[in-house]
Amino acid sequence: MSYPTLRTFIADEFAMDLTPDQLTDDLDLIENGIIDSLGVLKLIAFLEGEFDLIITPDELDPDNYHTISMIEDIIREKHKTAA
Amino acid sequence: MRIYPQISLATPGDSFRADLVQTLTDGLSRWKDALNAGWIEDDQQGCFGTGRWQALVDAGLTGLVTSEDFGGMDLAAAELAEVLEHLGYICEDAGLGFSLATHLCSTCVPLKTFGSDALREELLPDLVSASRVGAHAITEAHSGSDAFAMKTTAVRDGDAYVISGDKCFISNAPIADICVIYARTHPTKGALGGFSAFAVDCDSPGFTIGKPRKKMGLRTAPMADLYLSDVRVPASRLIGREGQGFVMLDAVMRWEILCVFAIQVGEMRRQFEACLAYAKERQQFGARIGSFQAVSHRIADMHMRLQSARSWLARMVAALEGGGQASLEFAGAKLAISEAHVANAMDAVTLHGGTGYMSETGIEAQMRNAMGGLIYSGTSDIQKNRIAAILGL
Ligand SMILES: Cc1cc2nc3c(=O)[nH]c(=O)nc-3n(C[C@H](O)[C@H](O)[C@H](O)COP(=O)(O)OP(=O)(O)OC[C@H]3O[C@@H](n4cnc5c(N)ncnc54)[C@H](O)[C@@H]3O)c2cc1C
Repeated sequence: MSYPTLRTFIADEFAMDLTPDQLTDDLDLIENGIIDSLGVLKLIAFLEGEFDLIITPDELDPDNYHTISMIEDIIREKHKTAA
Repeated sequence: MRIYPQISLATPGDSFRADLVQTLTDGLSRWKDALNAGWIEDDQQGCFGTGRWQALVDAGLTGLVTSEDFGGMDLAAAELAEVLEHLGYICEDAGLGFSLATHLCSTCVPLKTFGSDALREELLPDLVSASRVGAHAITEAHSGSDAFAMKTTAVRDGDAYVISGDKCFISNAPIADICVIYARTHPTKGALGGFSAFAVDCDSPGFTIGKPRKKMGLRTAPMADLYLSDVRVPASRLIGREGQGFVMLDAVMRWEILCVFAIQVGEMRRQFEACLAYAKERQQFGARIGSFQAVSHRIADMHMRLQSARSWLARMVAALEGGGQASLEFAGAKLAISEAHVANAMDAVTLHGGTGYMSETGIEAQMRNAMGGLIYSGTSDIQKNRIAAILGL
C-alpha cells in the first residue's frame, strides 16, 4: 500500500523547488538536507494526524526518515503492530 | 495558615515515589539558609556562589536525573518537577537553580539517554558528585534560533574527531569541566543526520573559555563564550551515534524546559505569596493596599498566571511520562510559563512600589532573571513557530 497524501505533503512542505520527477520515492531527504528542524516537527505532526499513529522520541532516528519509501515502511509497520 | 494551596504536579500512579520526594523536599528546606546566603551581593557583583553550589551538591541535587548505578536518584519527570519546584520556592538565587538545571540537562541527560556504557561509567559518577561540572554549547554568533546553521565542525581523524568553531552564551562555561559540544559531522545533511554531540574536556589543548560575560539577569549563573581550535576529542567521546545531534538536542531541550521552568514555577509561587502578604499588610490612605481594586486585580491576575503556569508544568510532566512526541505541550509550556513569569515579576515590582525597585529586596532581580526565560531554550517567537508548525501551518 502506498500513501499518496504523504508524497503530496512532502512535495508541498519541503520540496517546492523540486519537480515531481525529482521527488522520487528514493530521493534521500536527509542527505540532501530537504527536511529542516521545523520540518521534522511538521512531518511527525502530519504522520500522527493523517495516519493515526504515535511516534515516540526514541523512534525519531534520522536513519528511519531518509526517503519517502522508508517513511511509508514506518507507517505500514505501525499499522501492522496496531492491528 | 497556608496562604496559597499547592496543587500536586504528580499524576497519581504506583511509580511516583512520594516518600523519596518528601525526603528530598524536607531535606532541601533544611538547606534553605545555605542556599540563599549572600546571593543578593553576588547578584550585584555577578559572582557565582561557590558555597551555595556546594549546598546544592550536599543536598544531593546534582544526582537527580542520573541512575542509581552511578550514584544518582534517577527521578521520573513528576518527581523531578516536584523537587525542582520546591527548590525554586525556597531558593531565591535563580542563577543557582539555572546553573543546576544546566548541569543536569547539558551533560547528565544526554549521557544517560544516549551515551555508551563506557562513557557513562567514565563521566556520570563525577557529574553526580559535581567533582566535574557540565555545560553544553549549541549557539554561535550567527546561529542562535537557527541552531543548525552552526559552523562548528567535527572531522573524523583516525580514532579521534577534530573540532573547530566558536560558541557563544554558554551557561556554566566559566566553571565547567565537561562541555557537550554540538558540531556538524556531515557536509550536506540537514538538521536530521548532519550533526553530532561530543563530551569534551574543557582543559583539552585548543579549547579556550572566554572571560565571563556580564548580563541583565541570572548574574550568579556564570556564562562565557568558547573558542575551539583543532580540539582533538577521542571518538569514544561521541555521544550516541554520528548524526544523532538533532534528536539528542530535541530530547535535551525537553528536560531543560522541564527543569528550568519547574524551578520558575516555584519562584513564582514564592513571589505570589510575598505579594499577597504585602497587599494585606501595607497601608496607604488609611487602608490596606489590597483593598484598592487596582491592587486586588493585580493579585488576581498574578494568581491566574501562576495557576496557568502550574497547569502547563503538569501537562509537560504528563506528556513526558506518556512517552509520545509531546512537542506541542513543551512549546506551549515554555511559552506560557516564561511569559507568565515575566508578567508576574513586573507586577511584583509595581505592587511593592519603591521597595520593589530597590536591589536589596531581590524583587527587581526576579524581573531581570525572568526575562532570560523568553530567550533561552528557544525564544517565544520560536515556540510560536513550533506550535504553528505542529498545527499544520
Ligand atoms: C540566559 C541565557 C543562557 C543561555 N545559555 C546557553 C547555553 O548554555 N548554551 C547555548 O548553546 N546557548 C545558550 N544561550 C543562547 C540561546 O540559546 C540563544 O540566545 C537563543 O537561542 C536565541 O538566539 P540568538 O540570541 O542568536 O537570537 P536570534 O536567533 O538572533 O533572534 C533574535 C530575535 O529574532 C527572533 N527570531 C529569530 N528567528 C525567528 C523566526 N524564524 N521567526 C520569528 N522570530 C525569529 C527571535 O525570537 C528574537 O526575538 C543562552 C541564552 C541566554 C539568554
